Amino acid sequence: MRLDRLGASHPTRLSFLRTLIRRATREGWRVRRAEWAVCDAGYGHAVYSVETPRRTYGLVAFSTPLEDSRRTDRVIAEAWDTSYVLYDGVPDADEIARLRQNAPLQEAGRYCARDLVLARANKSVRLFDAVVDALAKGEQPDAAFLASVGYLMRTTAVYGNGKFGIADRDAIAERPELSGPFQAEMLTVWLIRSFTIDLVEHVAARRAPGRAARLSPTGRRGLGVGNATGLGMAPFLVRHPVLMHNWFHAREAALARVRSQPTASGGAQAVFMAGLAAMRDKVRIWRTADIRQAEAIAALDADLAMIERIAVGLFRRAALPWDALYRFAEANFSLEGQEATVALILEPHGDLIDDLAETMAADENASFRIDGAMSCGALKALIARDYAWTRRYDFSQEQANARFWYVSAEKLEPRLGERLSEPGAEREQPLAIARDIAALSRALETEPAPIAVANFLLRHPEWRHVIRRAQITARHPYAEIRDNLTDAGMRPIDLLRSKLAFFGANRFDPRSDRWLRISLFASEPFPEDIVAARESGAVS
Amino acid sequence: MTELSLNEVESLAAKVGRGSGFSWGLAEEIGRSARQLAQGGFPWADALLALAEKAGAMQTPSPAQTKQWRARQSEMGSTASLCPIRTAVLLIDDPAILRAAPLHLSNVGLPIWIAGVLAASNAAGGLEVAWSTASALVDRQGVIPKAPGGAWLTPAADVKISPGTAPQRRLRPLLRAPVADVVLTALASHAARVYVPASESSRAKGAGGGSVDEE
Repeated sequence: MRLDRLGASHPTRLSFLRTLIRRATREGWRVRRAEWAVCDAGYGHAVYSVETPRRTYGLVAFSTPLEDSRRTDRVIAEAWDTSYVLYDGVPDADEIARLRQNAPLQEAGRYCARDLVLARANKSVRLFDAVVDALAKGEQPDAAFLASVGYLMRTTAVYGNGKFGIADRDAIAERPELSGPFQAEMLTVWLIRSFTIDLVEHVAARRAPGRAARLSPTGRRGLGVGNATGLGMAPFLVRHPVLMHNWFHAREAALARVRSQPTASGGAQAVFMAGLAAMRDKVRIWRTADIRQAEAIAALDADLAMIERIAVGLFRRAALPWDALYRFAEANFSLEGQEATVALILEPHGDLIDDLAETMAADENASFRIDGAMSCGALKALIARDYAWTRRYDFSQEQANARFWYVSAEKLEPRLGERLSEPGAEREQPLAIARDIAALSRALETEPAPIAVANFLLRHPEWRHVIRRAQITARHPYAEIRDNLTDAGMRPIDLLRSKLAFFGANRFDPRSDRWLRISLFASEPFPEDIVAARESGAVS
Repeated sequence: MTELSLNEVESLAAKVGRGSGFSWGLAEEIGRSARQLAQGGFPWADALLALAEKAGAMQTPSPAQTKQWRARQSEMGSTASLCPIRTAVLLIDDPAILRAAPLHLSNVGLPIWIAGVLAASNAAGGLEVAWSTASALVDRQGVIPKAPGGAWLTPAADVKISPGTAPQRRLRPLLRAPVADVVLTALASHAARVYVPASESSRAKGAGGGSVDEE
């Protein structure tokens, strides 16, 4: 649970987009383009309906003209090429009109309880135009160029859980199809991917009626949805310790189950080797200008080549072959290679581990209440046991307390400030967990051990959030990122990558220490593919 | 009138709490309590604004008072109202006090928050929180009025907490929370105290994200 390891995270079969696709395949979800009102230039709206066994949802997509000068991935943007709402049901004309007035405005609009997710995406202009040009000529776009970008559009925000008036998570948490973490958001992005393909083919077809080509199945399959993610996502993992515990606990439980398998069946070996080959292909097209990430990718490439050389021998000889492979990676590979190995050895074991995906949601209310009857002595013991890692830091040093997290008045979004050179530290958000735990420990030093926490809190309400956290962590050992989030050298993108890997993201491309680009759903099936997969029994 | 989601209610209320001087942990309790009050159909927004405006004038329960509550002794009234948040969190932190119910609390400011905090704690197995002009029933499903028309925004009152059972059949909790725009604006100004205004360097660094499309 250290930042450098989180910053090397890879998606696994427990990642949320994989969970979504498995359920959609298993339950035979039907996705159809219910409405297409898009002009020759590619502007207008479309509706995609998703029929699940219990309910129907609709993605409403709007495409609007955007001057190049206004196209930005930053949260300060005020207009986007496309905007989206995942709607509870299939919207009628009045509802589409309402959404047309609001969705293109994003945060400046207001939404209602039928609106489940709000999102926007900008074109990758170079690729979008190049694909239109090629298809309009009746040709396929250059495969290398297609692969080098990997998406026609990238989202710059996907909002759920009550933001700007949309439905609360409570409203969908009991629905099996959306009860897992971020399933509504993943469904939205999956449908956005289909819309981007339909849009590029539509524009090409209108430019060259009767002559334009459609994207080849291989070309389509390789395209995902890009995403640009900045600091806004970073505090999430810190603010939701129980949820984070559940995510990591599921992953670790899956790994433990697989490592304890006494043999590696022929079928499992075949799936593993296919996954390894696919990952090597992805690594070959994984581009980044970030020197550190480029070095990590090179190390990963070498690690994967090593796996290719040793895997078959290990499978034949080792008593616990998957455990042996994991241990070999742990001893010999880069962090990137170790995390990739975890993803690879989980891949062939769906029957063994996929049930764990059902344990990754969290009822955070159940852990909210403080145990005030606990003695201060017992609390001190908990902190000594669970937060020994905070002793690594000396918070009297500027380095350890160099930064502060805050919410910007301008955009109401999380930001990271420099404590010594920027104003606002007195309005710091409570995310300096290591520092605050260390300070609480000092405060407890003078407190008699038998005193109840309730009495301590009556005199010291400033420690309430820290004590709540310590008590949560006592019951949820994966709740805490065991690093100092205010350190001068802390890299927020490590937090982002971890969360994005749980989503199922690939092609992590850091653009600085505080934002990165990724791709979602590349190489995954489209909704129309899952019908065929279900009929052939190929559900993975 | 603006209709908020419950998540917006909770988030706004937590910021208002913090902006009004409560600790982060108490602000979290205020957020969850406001959500409970909104779900129960109570005037959460007016209650939140009143809490923000009076937070500095209300007092924390003293050790002597808590001792009296535990011992079920009658309490000496005080001139300043008790802070309902600080009082209610003590009740949920120290189960021994609630076990002593019926409990009489003198001069509690904005007593509706006692019901809200107890409901948000998920701790109350069935309690009635009553003052002379209103009464609410609290259990693990939330908080509901015992009878319609209560004076929920009473500035201060003596409060009685006693065992009470909410009906099993009752209206479903509300999923949306309407708020008058003038109240929302006032609440937003309290919430804004947790935000940091932009500076030249913060604008330059932002939250990340590219300024141009180069792909």
